Amino acid sequence: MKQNSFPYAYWVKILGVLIILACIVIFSMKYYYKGIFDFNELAVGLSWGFVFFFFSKEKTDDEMMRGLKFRSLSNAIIIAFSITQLYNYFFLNLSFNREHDDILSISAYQFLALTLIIATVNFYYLKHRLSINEVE
Amino acid sequence: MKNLIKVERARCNVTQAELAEKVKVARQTIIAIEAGKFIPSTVLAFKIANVLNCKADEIFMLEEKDWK
Repeated sequence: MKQNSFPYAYWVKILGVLIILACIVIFSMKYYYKGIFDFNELAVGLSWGFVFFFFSKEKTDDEMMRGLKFRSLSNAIIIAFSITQLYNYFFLNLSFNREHDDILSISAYQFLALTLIIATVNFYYLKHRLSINEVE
Repeated sequence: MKNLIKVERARCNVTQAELAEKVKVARQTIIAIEAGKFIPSTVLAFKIANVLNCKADEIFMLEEKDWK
């Protein structure tokens, strides 16, 4: 019984990395030439890139890797949600007036990019921690 | 859950890499199972036992904490 949890093949990681690098370059160039910090556009590229990177298969895609990915994604959503709530409260809605204002929030792309960055870092950290005692 | 994979591997003269290749998992997975950091699924446990010419319940043993 073969389980295929991740939709993308291993080589799609390279595509993800290229997209991430491209959006960082575009963000830097936009700042260098126009003095604009377009974080939302950066988040669009990062979220696309990390979706391809995180949801592609590992070299050896076994049950432990799938379990680690699920665990890191679960942790990442909780952490990213907490950061988002804190950021929204302290930076976007501190002087919120219920009668006049709408609740402001970071964009979905920014949230997704933040979540997947945390998930990716957490996954490789958990994988490294398991490999520490690699002595036979 | 404790296991005797290392002992059985030594008996059968199989390295971690060879065992990992035969049961189609990463070497890190075998390392994690031997160190007790990862509990394999039933299918994987039976595969490992099969490769090491043992029964699954001879290699894997429940501990007191597994019942909690």
